[in-house]
Amino acid sequence: MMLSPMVEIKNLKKWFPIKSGFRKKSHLKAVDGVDLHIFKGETLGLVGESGCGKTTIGRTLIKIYQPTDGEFLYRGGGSTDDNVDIFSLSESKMRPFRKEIQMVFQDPYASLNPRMTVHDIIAEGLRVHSVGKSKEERKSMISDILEKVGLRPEYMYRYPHEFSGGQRQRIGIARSMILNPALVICDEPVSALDVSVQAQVINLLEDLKHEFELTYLFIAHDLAVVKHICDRISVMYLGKIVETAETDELFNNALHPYTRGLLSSIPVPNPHLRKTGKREIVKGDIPSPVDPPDTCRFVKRCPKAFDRCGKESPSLKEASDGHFVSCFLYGE
Amino acid sequence: MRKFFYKRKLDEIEEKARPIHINSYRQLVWAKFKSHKLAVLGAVMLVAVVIFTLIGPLFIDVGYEDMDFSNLFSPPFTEGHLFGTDELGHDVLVRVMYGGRISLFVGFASAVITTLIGTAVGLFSGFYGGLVDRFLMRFVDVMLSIPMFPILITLTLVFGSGISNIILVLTVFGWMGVSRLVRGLVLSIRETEYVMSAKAMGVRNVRIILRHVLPNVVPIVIVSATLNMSYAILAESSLSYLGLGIQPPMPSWGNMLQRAMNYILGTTTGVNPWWLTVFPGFFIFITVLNVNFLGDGLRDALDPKFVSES
Amino acid sequence: MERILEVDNLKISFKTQLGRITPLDGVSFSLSKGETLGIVGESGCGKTITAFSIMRLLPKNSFLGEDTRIAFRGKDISTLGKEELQRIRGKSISMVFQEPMTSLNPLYTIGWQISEVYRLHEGLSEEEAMTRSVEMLRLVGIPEPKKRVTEFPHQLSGGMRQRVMIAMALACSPEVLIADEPTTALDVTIQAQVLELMNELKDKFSTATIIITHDLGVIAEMCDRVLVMYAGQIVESGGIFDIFDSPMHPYTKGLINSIPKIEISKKEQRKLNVISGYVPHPSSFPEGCRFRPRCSVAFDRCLEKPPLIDFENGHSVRCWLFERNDR
Repeated sequence: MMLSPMVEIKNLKKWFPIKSGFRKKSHLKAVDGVDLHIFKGETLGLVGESGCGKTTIGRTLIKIYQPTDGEFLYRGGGSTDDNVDIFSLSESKMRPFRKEIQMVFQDPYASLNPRMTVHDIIAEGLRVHSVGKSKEERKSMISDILEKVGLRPEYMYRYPHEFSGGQRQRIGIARSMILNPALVICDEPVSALDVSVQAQVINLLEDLKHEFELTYLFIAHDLAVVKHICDRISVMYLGKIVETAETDELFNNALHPYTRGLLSSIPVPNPHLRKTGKREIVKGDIPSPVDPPDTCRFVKRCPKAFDRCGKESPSLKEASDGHFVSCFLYGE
Repeated sequence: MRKFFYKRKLDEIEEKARPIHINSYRQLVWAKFKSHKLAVLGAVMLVAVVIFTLIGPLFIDVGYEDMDFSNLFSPPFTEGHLFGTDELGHDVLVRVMYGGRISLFVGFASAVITTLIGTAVGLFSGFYGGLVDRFLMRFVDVMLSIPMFPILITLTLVFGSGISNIILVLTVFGWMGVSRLVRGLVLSIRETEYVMSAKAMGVRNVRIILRHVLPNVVPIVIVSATLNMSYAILAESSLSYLGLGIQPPMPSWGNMLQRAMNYILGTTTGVNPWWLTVFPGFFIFITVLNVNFLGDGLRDALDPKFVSES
Repeated sequence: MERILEVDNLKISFKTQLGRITPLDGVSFSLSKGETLGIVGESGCGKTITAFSIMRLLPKNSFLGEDTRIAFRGKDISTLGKEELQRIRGKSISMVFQEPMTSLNPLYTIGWQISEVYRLHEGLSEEEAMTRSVEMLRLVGIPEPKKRVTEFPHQLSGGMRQRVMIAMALACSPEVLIADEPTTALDVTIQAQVLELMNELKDKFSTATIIITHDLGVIAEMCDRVLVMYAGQIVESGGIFDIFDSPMHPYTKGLINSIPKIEISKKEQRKLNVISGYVPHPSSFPEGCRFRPRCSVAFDRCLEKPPLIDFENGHSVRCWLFERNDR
């Protein structure tokens, strides 16, 4: 019997209206009906290329963007059986949940206010949620968290520009972790870092996960990193999930043609494993998410497309235990 | 395709001190400012002009209203009148000093007030967006399409001239540019990840504006304010020149120019009193020029991307 | 193998408000006809500056070292005047840049931009140049090339734009192609397309290629030889298999080991080996061996600058661990 998931996202949609013409309303359907669930303690990877909607999902969950439709059922870290639909809450009712659900951002150069000291950046969360009874207590909390993320506490009165990209990312992580969250949404946390620094931050995220018993939604485009850190992975294409499976199952036995093409496209840092000439190349370009047709989104580039694919849109179905795929090749 | 360099002995290149370790953001800004020679010159010159107008009169025996009948239309370097005198025997030097006080004050005050109003409007418009934004921006468009000078002329005729009225009129018509600038900035700041992070943290909007948006807007606004000041000084001069600004006997650089125009082609005594226009005009010129230099330097110094090859 | 490009002791300095910075400090390498050389390193290592300096695309405040020599087909091009340099650029040596969005002029059609190369270097008329451009677009795999030549850059996707850049670069069949992070800004599936394309064209045109990237996967896919750069110097160089199978320099080893291995299963994933510390900024490179502060096996000799030590199989390394007294 499976435990109830900590997070259940149902039919999440985020459409951005685009002005075009007087009457006709166009929409950029960044996220167009996504179902996800995340179990407590796991790291769920969300991968895809540009325009797939993965970053939008992260931002919508944390309500930086208002969802167009859908439910975000959250069964808090307190693990009661009741869950609450975060999307139905008003801003003030949602505020306490913001302590539990944190986000780590992608760009170390843009995620820290250049005019605030490290101390102030991290203290802001403490103040908003009234954590820490005095200035001294907060200062010592900040010292502790800085040490945990591998930075010297003496640096807390410096400004972001004095730090390198990797260090800034650690500050961003400290900012999220100091509130002892339950769920952390990592939005491409290592994509903007140098290779040698990526490893440091990946290790840090894993260590913190174990120490604080966190649950991660890990959004990324680098599949090697995702394979390393995630327990389960969902692959997105043009606003929809095309496949979800446990990590090894996905890599060894990918079902959806897009997933297969994606995995085949990755250049492996091993000259003995060169795939040039032997790839399952995905032809064509990534289409625009503006007013996509009501067919399988991948139909124009799919090497295995047939009639039905051009007429209807498939939905996510379980193909084998825990392995979900959205493709007419697999039943329905 | 003009990017060429030539081989040189590396020692030939002027070796500056080993790279300075910049500690704070302020030090970095100061270092960048200092390296912008024109900006430093501008700052120094402006300070000089301010001192000249404020302290200067203490060293002069005559007041700006004193008339020296024995010396009408005297050229510069006449005894007791370094800059010469005008048709009523007023000492030009002391009038330039007092006039400077007026012009600088008007310029400064309008710059400050227009900046405050424009920033507030731009902040609201940019941050809240939606109807507020659309309404405010249409209002700005309307204000911008009103022809300023005819209205100014009408208003001064109705309300009379005088320092406060001039400042009022300049501010009513001067805030729009700043508001658009600020709005644009706010729109891009709003999309930065640090603002998103604050929202995700649960920080309330007002605090986001004050703590995250405003401090990042201020540097650009300061630059705009300096440029606004030079515009205000010129505008005051023009108004006074048209006879609508400060009224005599109170001098301003503008009205000194205006009075002088009556005589510039020759006086009843056949003299061409060039010093009556050259001195006030020169001061307007260097003030505005140096304010612009200062503004340029500030803008470059405060722009975080503007450090060559870093 | 004929050596088509020889870079000797390339040293570049910049004069900035923070003092004099020397981000490139004595880089030497050669490129043979038909070979693909990879230059790999992280930010600040100087790989992009290396590429740009061959074509002399550096800003005004840059200075070339005194003993630097860049020989193309035996002739030193680092001292060439404007005219002569112009004749080489785009014709004998051409470049593909990283950002397809900004490398194409948004105001001119694709066709105009490609044909510019033909008009300039081969003196063709507008019509002839346009015909050749269409051919070139077809060659790089752009569908409906006749229609595309009339389109503007913003009408094309990132992958398409990169193909156009490649078309422009290969238009005059250059002998050397320098590709600076050609696929970094592209999505993985598009990257695969572009890399396949580059491989095909490489064979067809037998162009000697330099690929500059931070992505070891791309290096492994495409290159015959590799230069590993760190802090303005080459720390290791050699054949592609030598470098990956038996890396010598601690930095190279660390780099290879810090990448999550996609070939092994999730269960087999181990904690990543990290290189501690951070990449130094060009204004403050460490004394002696520049990698010393981050090196786990540094010893006293490392306070001295290590030279590049060559081995017979073409493998070189800049590290005192490999000092040989029997030279």
